Amino acid sequence: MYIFFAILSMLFWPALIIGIIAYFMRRRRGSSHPKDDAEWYLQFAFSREDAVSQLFLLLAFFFLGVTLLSLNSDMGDPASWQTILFITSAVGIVGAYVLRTVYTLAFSLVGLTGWWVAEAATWIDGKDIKVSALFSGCMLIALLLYTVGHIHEKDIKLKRFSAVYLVFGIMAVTFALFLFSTKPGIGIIASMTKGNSILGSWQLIVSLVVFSLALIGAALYAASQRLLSVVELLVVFALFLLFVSTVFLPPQVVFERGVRSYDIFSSGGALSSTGVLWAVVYNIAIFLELLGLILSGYVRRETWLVNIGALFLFLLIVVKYFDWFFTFLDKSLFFIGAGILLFVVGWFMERGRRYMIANIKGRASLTQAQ
Amino acid sequence: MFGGFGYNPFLFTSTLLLIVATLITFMTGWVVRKKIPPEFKDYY
Repeated sequence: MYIFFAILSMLFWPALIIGIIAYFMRRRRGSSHPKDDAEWYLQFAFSREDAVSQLFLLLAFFFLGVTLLSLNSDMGDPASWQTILFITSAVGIVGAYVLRTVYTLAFSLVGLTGWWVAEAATWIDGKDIKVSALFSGCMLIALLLYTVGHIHEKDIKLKRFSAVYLVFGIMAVTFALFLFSTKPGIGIIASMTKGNSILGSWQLIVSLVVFSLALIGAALYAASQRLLSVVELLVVFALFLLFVSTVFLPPQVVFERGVRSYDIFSSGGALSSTGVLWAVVYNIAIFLELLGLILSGYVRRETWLVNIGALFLFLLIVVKYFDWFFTFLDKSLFFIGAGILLFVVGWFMERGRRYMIANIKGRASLTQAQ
Repeated sequence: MFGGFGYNPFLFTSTLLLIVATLITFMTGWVVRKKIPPEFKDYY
């Protein structure tokens, strides 16, 4: 029973976060006919029947998982719960493609990723291998989802799936880059590079090689079909190298004199030169990634990418201001500064966002008129 | 009915109920999916 709740809670948070993101991406309510909506593929459902059937099929997917778990426990647990999760998610993905159900696809993808993470955790635990292998694997999956999402854009029947893949990929990569650009995140780099080499576990090596080959293949295919621009391809490869390189890192000493601090606002535990290097790398990476996201939305005429990029960039600027200046400035000055920063950044970004979206819509209507 | 397996019969009954629930929700979803208006067929 505990496992059942663990799986449910694991699926709950991604679903909630994606719901919030989807709300911000759309920025308006109600659904319209796909023909009248340039971004129809972001609609959760086209019609009442679509929504009801997708919800029932999602329920059937959950019931399948619970049935298998129950059957397994009746038989005296011949299979592990990881295997059940894998079987259910695999069936869910096949079902999602056959019946074109977006909701089931989203949960199945989370289930499959969760299965790999659970398996990788047992491989790591047994031989005390560096946790960076797990992190690297997750990020390769995220990049793969992003690339596969763009590959799905070609087919009108699979276009809604592409949004699911893209949202998962973008969210995971952005969250990871953001985490490692903060002080607690840099502390995590230190702890995840401790332990034995990945060479101690063939399962991890095989997983990472398979993910890497799949990612390289998918990215090159997408680029050859002009679904991924050269710049996007280079960004994907740059992130790939960044994430894969963490697997081979020797143990990192990121704080001076071995003092570690997980408190984001404290000045204790000054970063060592290695720590500063990682801070610079990840801060540049997250800023470039978010700017790239907005630009890619502009070039692709996807307003939701512009919206999501602008939202994340705004949050990032606010968090960085707190992170860098909270202890550095007098408190009254700090909050006056925060007010001015919020006002100015908010104003400029909203102007920029509206300008971009108006431009995209203008170009779209011009194309339609021609 | 399921006592012959040598396991707790109540457990099998509850698994059976879950199987029935899976099938019913799946079939309901399938039937409702068939009723989607034809104008949306291009998108599936």
